Amino acid sequence: MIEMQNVVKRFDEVEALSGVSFSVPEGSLTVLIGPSGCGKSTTLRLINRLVEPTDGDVLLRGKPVKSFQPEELRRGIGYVIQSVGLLPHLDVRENIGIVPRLLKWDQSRIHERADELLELVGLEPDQYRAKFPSQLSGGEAQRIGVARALAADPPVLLMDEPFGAVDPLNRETLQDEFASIQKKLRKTVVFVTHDLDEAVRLADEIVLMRDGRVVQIASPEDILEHPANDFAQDFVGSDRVLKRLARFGVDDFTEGGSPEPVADSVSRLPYVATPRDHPARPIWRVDADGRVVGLSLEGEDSVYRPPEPFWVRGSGSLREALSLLLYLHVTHLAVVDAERRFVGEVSLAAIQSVTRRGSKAVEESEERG
Amino acid sequence: MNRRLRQLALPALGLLTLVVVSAPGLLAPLMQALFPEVAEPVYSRASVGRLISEHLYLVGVSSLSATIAGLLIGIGVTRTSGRAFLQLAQDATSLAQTFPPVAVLALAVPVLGFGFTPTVVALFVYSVLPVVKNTIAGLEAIPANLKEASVGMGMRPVELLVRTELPLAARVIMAGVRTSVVLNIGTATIGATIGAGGLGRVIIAGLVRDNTAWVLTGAVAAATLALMVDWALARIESSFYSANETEV
Repeated sequence: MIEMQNVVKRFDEVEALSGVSFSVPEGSLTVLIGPSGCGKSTTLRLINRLVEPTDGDVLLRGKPVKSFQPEELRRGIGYVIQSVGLLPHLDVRENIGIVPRLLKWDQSRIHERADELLELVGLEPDQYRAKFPSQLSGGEAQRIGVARALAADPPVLLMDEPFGAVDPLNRETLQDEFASIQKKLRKTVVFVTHDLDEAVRLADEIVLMRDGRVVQIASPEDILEHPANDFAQDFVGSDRVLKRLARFGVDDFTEGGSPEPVADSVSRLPYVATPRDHPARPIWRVDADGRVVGLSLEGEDSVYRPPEPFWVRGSGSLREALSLLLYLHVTHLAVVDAERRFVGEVSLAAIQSVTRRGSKAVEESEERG
Repeated sequence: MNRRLRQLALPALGLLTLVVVSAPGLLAPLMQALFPEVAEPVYSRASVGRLISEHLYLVGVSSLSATIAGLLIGIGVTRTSGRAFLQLAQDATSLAQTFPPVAVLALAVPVLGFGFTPTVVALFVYSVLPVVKNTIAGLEAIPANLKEASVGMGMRPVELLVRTELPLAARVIMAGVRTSVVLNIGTATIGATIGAGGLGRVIIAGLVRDNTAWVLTGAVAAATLALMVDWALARIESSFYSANETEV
């Protein structure tokens, strides 16, 4: 869908990009990542011709972008920037409608589209369409920014640190929401960030850049498992095994386990401070609705009801599961659905089956180094 | 309710003042009371009402052309193609404002002669400056990210100007226009010295004849006019913005 062919960009004497090549397959999300000044934003802006290359070609659907009228090209590419850039004199609906208006859509179609998009980004149209940017929180503004980029239903979306200015808690929510929007819409997305966690969370493919060059192109799993060189290894950090775990869902590592119903009413279960420090595999106890309420230990009859959650949601990541396993000092957690009904269990051993490959990779690269 | 009343108090008071100064029957006893030593308290060579309309015509022609020219110059020098002249325009406007308007008028006479035209030219030169200055300031103050977002969404240069730049710079530009017009109403009184008519005639005549009542009449009329025009422009301006937006 998008292809960079040996692109060079010089600003006066400074070479910002020295031969960048990569391609972005249709419907996939590619993250450009690297330290500040590595050329990732410049690379992004080559695609909608906000920056023109000194040398090399940028292709969109096989055609060089320079063969398009810049304005025509940009109207077909959604663009989200870090500061959002909502126009303060236009209300939410008018902001979303900017590109459709440039494309001369009629008013009623623009209004319909704006409402549709507000719903898509999780904002109640009745409540938000008439608001002005000054009345929005950072997270809301950012959602409108995404809605605006999607307004004319462009096949390509360029996002330049879109969630960079939002606080960490909201950022994660926005990332999750965007991930689910992307799952639905399957746009071809090029996403710039310097936040590796964000990249790992969202990317189909990561392009790691440094000093205007591409260091490594790989899936998040691969880049965490096999960083190409010392720089890549430094960049992904010493906790890359944990970051990698964030890519795996608990669901995929859930094993059966057979829960046993508790006979007594739940409130009469003996209350035990901790099943900690007990390495054995517990027997999960569920109530009549299948909700996990306690556990029994092998060879004991008592049913315990730990004071802290000892289960993880199936939709969570292995990273969360591992964190809880370490915290509770146990080897098994119950896996539950949204209503806390028993689904199965996840074990430390299952997590290690993922990380073992990773740790082997660590040894290998240490040997190489 | 209270706010509405206050908003209407100014124009009502202004209108009343203008009626009083242009009606000799009302003005005469008032001036007589204020200045008992003055023999002829009401200017009689022309009706004040006519002087007001002359004055407004003078101001209208020069301010309208100055606003249009100022806008065009301000927009021109902030475009990529005109940016070379930005510094020049800024320096010229700052420098030109240091000339007293009388000097501009004095310089215009040898070139353009006496009467309406040289006065309009002098007023134009003088009142184009705040407009240029504020147009440049308003356009230059627009955050780069808003322009980038607009261009990135595919706005052409004209669309960028009309949809993003001018609406965002409107407040600053309008402030310049208002300053320019208000200044112009005051400055236009000087036009009477070279025979352009207007409220300046009463003031000048009063100064020449040492008639304080005439000076006061002209000055009060001009000041009231300035206040009311400013009020009217502010009203026109605020009708452009929605209630929410003014919270920004």
